[in-house]
Amino acid sequence: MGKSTSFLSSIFYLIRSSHSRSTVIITIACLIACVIIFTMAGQANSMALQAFCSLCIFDLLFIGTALLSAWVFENNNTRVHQRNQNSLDNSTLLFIPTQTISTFSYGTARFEVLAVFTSTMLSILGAFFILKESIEKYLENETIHTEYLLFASILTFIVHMFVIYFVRNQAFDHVIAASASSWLQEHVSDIFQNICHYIPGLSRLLLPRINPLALLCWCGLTILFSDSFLLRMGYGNFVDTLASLLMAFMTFGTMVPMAIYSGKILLQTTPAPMIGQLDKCLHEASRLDGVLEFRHEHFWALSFGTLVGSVHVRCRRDADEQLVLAHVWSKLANVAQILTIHIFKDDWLRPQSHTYTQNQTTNPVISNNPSTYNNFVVIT
Amino acid sequence: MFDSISDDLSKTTKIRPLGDVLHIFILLILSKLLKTFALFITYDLLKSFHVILILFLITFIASIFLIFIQRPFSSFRFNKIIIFRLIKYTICLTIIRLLWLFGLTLCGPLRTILLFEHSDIVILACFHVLFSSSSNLGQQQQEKTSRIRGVVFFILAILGIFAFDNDDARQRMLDHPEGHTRHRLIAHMFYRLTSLIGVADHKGGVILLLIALFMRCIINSSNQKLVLDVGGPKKFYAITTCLSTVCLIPISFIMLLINNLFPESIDSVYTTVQTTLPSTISSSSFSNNTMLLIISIVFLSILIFVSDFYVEQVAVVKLERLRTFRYSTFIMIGSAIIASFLWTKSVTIANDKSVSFTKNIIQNEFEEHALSGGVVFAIVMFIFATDLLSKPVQQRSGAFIGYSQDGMLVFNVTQQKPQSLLFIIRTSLREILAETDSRKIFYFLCINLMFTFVELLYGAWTNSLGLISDGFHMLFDCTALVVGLYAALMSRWKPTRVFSYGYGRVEVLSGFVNGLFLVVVAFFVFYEAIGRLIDPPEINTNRLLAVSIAGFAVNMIGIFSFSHAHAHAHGGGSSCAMSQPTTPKEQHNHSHDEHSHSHGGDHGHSHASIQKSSHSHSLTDNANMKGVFLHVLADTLGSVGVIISSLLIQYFGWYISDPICSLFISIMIFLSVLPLLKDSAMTLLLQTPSNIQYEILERILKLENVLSYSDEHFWNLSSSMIVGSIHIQISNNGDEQRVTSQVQAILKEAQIQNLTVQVEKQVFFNHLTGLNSALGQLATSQNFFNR
Repeated sequence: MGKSTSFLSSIFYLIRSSHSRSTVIITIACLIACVIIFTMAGQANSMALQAFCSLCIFDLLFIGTALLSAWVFENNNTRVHQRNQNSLDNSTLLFIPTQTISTFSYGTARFEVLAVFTSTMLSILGAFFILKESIEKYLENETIHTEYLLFASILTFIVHMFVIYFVRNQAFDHVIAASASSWLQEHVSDIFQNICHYIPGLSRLLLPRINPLALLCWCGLTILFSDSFLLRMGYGNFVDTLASLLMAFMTFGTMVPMAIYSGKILLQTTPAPMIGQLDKCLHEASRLDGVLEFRHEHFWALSFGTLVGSVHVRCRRDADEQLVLAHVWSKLANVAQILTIHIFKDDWLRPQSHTYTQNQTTNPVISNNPSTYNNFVVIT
Repeated sequence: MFDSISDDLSKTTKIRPLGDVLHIFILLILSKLLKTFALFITYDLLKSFHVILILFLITFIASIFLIFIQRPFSSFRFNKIIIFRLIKYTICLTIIRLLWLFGLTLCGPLRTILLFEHSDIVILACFHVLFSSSSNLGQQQQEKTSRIRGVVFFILAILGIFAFDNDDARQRMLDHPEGHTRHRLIAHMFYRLTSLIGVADHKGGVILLLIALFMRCIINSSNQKLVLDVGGPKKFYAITTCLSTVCLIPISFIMLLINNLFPESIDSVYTTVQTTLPSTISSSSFSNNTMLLIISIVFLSILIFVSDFYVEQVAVVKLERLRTFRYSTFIMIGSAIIASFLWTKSVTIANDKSVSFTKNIIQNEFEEHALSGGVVFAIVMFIFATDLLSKPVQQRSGAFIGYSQDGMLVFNVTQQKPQSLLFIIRTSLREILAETDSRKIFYFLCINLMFTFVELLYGAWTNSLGLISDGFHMLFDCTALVVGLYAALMSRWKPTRVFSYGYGRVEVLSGFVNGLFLVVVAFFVFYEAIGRLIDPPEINTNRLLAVSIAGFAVNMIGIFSFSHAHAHAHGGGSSCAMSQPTTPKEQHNHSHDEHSHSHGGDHGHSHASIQKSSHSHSLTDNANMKGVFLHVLADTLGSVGVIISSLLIQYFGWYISDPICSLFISIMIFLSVLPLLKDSAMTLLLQTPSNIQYEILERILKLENVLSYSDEHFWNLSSSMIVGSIHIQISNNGDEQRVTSQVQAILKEAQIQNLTVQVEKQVFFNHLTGLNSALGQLATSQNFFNR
């Protein structure tokens, strides 16, 4: 309960703070627009319009993600602040260990990833649902009213564009920049490149990577315009079903790369672009003096741009552990921000146990520490 | 087959400058123009003669010409296998030509040219893109996207002709399906077939032409060796043409006997020739007409089968394969457009002339097969598609700009050999059946799919839309099962370089996705219910009840089989699925309450169904199975709702009960999904598991030489595995290995399997400062020492 109240209070904080007030206003406007558009879509009975209007719901999710990432940002700042304060009056820390296990030991950065994944996944599933609904609607064969079609689609377009370009969303910006291109993007860039072969002057305008969400919106608008045109020409429901299928596939195509990118982070994987650098660092570290091998190398992305690593290092028995640790750390700390290195030696007990048994035979009193003894038994 | 096409496309023969081969180019253009012209004449001839007869005559004359030119049988060594294969090829060829001509009668020349005059290269490239997913590395990514676009354009073009071409004249003909009296036998069968499928007449023609096109493509590419065996394409062509004439002789004789063609055809020749060549023909004597017929057929056979072939052969040699086919397709399409303009005009003029004395004849036929929006669209699309698909593969030197900074540049070399489909199916089946979870999901999926297909088939048979759409709904639900099944399979894969912890997390993620799926379902049901609440529609309930009861039965099987797994894991604590924090006992009472009014009955029923599935949301539970289970549960709720609402409608006529039921159901689905969502989200967010207590860390602190600890991270990898990492600061005289093993022992007791312990001394930080290394998260622990 305490968590939820803190969450609520942070939301209130967001509302009160000046930079996110505009976001709140946009949210409310988007909600109202959503309701209007969806009533119109329900009235028009056109699945293509519904498919396009589901962009509005995605916009709401987008804004939610933006708020969340702003919250995470604030949270991090305060944490760092607190940590600095803690380090100042550290004297109490030793005697009264205030360290408790927090619920999220890695902080809240991963919330963003989950938010992105959730919103993209929801829109994928929504598109999937629309796919099924449009087939059902085609079978039912009801009449479609075209009068709302244009207005609703233009309204959706405006809302979507406004949200995409005026709500600052770090999480989505990162995902859009880092995930693979959707098929829509690839085809459009291919077409544009072909155009630029003929008209080189346009290359500055056409060749940069296009925001996939904006592209989706443009294409959707085009489809809906042609859909309403064809419906007025009297081509019947087939056109509408086709348009909604196309919309659904475009939504799939746009969302799937982002969902894959964020889902892979959630699955505790190494991001593909990091692998090369990581391998280089590991290779360098494995050549250090005293290092025999690496085991259980786990390097995974905590959130966008943060890599967490843990590795077991087997080192030579006569090596200085702290020195090896420091060297390996200095190699790997450039890649992974949060790092844990476990150093172990084979048969580290043997010389000691040897002396120990000797001691036992000669002088059994020396077994100074019973806990060590217990532990020795447990380990072997 | 595909290898040859990619060879064709990537062959970089030196393209000769256009000036050298201009004469051949002009020849090609001329022959293609003439072929278009010939096709238009053929179409008009076909109006009055039987398809088989025309084809026979044309091939006969063409084979006479070819025999004279080529003398194919002079140096032909007879070989049994070759002859057998030749005959096979010839039969296919004849069937294709018949289909083609018949399609011509149905669709008109313009559409026939658009559909049929594609080179094999284009079609093979289409198939190559569609059916070979493995991207060979030689072919660049960008080439592939343009190919895919070409295929999409091609399909769109076909769709444009098929669906958006309102060929009104032909649709009117559907009312009098025996309009073409000449083609009685085939036509009759064909009309039966099309009326069975339910497509319009010219659409049937489109389908025929497409079939012919694909067949031609297949036999051409599969018989390339045969061509070489016989001795060159020209000889091959001559032989097959002769053989096809021989093939056609018996059929055409039978046709002659059956239809008794000649007496009818005399007056039809009369009318036809008047319409086709109105300017040249003024007299109408019988002998003149037969002469004209023969002349025109000779003319046609030369144009269609002889000159076109030879010019194409020459052009292939002199120009280039790809270039020839590209240009010929373009020329054919272009000339067909022009010719169809001219033709429509001339037919109109002819009609204007003939209208004066024959009032009511072909009044409505002069607009037949005119240009329409669909055709124009299709023409544009076909031109694009041909351009994109027959573009030669070229090595681009420039860098590609539009990508992100992290293109898939590394470790993409895992080129697997394509395995046979049977092998894949067998191994995956074995994997599925290896473990109980996936086996259960698989069996239930099979039951569900069977039910769906029975429903779909029955719906199609009785022509009931409700059943069909319900079947689609079931199919949609099956996808959740498929996701669950795949996740259950994946979770057993071995760890890889990228998935260093193995694939155990996939199950959690799939549980989360299934939860989201249910949220979407709940949302849409809610949305629809609100729409219906305002305006309750009339519902026909007579077959709904039986279907929903059957669906309920199927889902109950699933619930029992899945809940069994839960039941033996935990006792009977049912705590989730309800919003109110009621204790199980209260719920029990609630469900056994006898509510007098019917809504309560609904409520109670669904409670009962939840009660049967005793599952609690502890972290050790498998999120994937839970997601699948919840999905089945939601389905069951849905069918319960349908049963109740249809009963209410049937007996009381309360149409409002349907949206109310669906409202309840959607809310219940949403609430039952929340715990699953929360659990799996927490696992995904790396929440510290609840069984890691502070006491454990306290015990670490009490160890000898341990000063403090930092960076303690413990999280659930999947339902069964906890991963942990911790930094421990010890005094300078402590032994690292001893402390490590002690800490390991302590944490092993807390069921942490995958543990990483970093032991730090003051020296470590001194070393780090000496190395000038990045500190990472170490700032705090270093402060501990610096103090």
